[in-house]
Amino acid sequence: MNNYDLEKTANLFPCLSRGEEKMIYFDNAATTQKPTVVIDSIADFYTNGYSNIHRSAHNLGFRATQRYENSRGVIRQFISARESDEIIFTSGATESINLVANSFGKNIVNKNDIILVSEIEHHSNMLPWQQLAKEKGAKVKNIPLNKDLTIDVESMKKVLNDSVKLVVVHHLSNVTGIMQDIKEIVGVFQELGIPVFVDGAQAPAHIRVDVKDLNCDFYCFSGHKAFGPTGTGVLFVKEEFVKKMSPYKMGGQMVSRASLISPEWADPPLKFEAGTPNISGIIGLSAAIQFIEDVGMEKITIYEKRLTEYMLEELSQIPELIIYGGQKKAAPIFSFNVDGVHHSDISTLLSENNILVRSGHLCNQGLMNYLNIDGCVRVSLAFYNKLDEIDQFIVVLKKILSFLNK
Amino acid sequence: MEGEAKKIISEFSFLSSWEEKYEHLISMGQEMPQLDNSLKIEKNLLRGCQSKVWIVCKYNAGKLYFYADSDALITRGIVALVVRLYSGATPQEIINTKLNVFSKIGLQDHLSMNRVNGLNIMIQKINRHAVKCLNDE
Repeated sequence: MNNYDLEKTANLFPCLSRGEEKMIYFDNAATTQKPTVVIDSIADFYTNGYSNIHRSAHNLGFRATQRYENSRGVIRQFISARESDEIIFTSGATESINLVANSFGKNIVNKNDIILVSEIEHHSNMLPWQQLAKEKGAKVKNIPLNKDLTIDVESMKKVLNDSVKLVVVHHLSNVTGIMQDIKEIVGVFQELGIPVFVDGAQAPAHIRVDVKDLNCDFYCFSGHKAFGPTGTGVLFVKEEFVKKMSPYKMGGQMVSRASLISPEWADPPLKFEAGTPNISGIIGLSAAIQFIEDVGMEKITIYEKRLTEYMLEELSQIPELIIYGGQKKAAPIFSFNVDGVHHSDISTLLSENNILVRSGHLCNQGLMNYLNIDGCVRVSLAFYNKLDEIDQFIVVLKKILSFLNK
Repeated sequence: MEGEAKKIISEFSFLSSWEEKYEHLISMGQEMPQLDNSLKIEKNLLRGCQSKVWIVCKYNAGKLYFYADSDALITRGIVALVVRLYSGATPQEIINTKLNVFSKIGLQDHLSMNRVNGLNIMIQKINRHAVKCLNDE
């Protein structure tokens, strides 16, 4: 396994091995565990260098500002953005999406315009666009899909017209782990000058994200799904668009000249980061990203491919099990139902056996409707999960199914 | 209510493994009469993200009676337990009594802490019925 040291890596996550109680954490698509370096970086900031940033003209303030701005550089490099100014810090993917809907969407979407959104988006990447359309008298239209839940680019071309002002897609599905071909999708719209927004919430924990290569205009993710702290998020906006956006959140540190009549906004990205930001969180996020880079994204992807193949092989032994989205996964995220058994019964009994998964509609009712189900069990792994955890999970799952089918 | 609570705690006290406990819970659900389909409507549905729960309340001669159902086996067992606890009590009794049955039968961690479709929501609903009955009087 090209020198990926699984034991060593897993041991760096204290919550995975706390106390005597053995736990199998298979709920990584909801949130990931934190390595010690992330926890320590936050404690270190509060212990050794805490100050407000961008304003206090003292040494402590300068150092804190430097750490915060260095984090911007770390994120820029991580997703291969051209400029640090293209990176806006937010509280999470949800805020990133709301920011674009309000700061950009409102400027370009007008009455009777169309926002193309895939119908299998997470609620966070659906509701802000529906709200925008409602306010503007515009329409949200579905992007056609292939059987394997990827975007049907050919059919999509046919629904294109002049009214389409914005396209919204996810990178990696929170339900199926299936990846959309962003590059191809962007290729179609770029010729027409239609901006593409990508919700990458699930991606950075599993695959290399290169916004230059994807060539999308907007990309966002949450820190907490990539081993960083909660309350942190990233929004990448291509330079040419960042200038066309107006701030939607007003407050401190986002103006260069405050006047009641006509305030002058600070340059981006600061004009979108009004108020004191989550400084410690962003420092923690930067530690998380450095941690991923230290482990090695390529190693992670290779190891997770093995986890994915193994899990699919093991799940296929259970004949009544229906797995959604097929085999071509870019991340070890598996959603399934078992014929005749309620998903919530399975997840409750897994939890009783210290195997932590999620069940329900997974904040993606669009996909549930598309699949014609009212929910499912989701098992989502990360690079600290082990093959023998999959074995144990399968043993317990079979036991639970025979218990429930009694 | 408290008598029924004691009875339930005593039933579970003989069961130690999760299999036994859930078996008992599930069979409690199976013994509960099914709710007629005409009552499984939006109005009676508890909003939740895990499984569907319907609760219907009847107020008769100063006492509240509950009828419920769920599409999941375990949830049905939980609702059956809740119905056993609260059905037949007066609104005042319901409002005044704080039960901690679930922590005593060793299922609390897994059943009540659920964000949306948990026990708490069922009990809130029952309490709201009780408050409404008192206010209407």
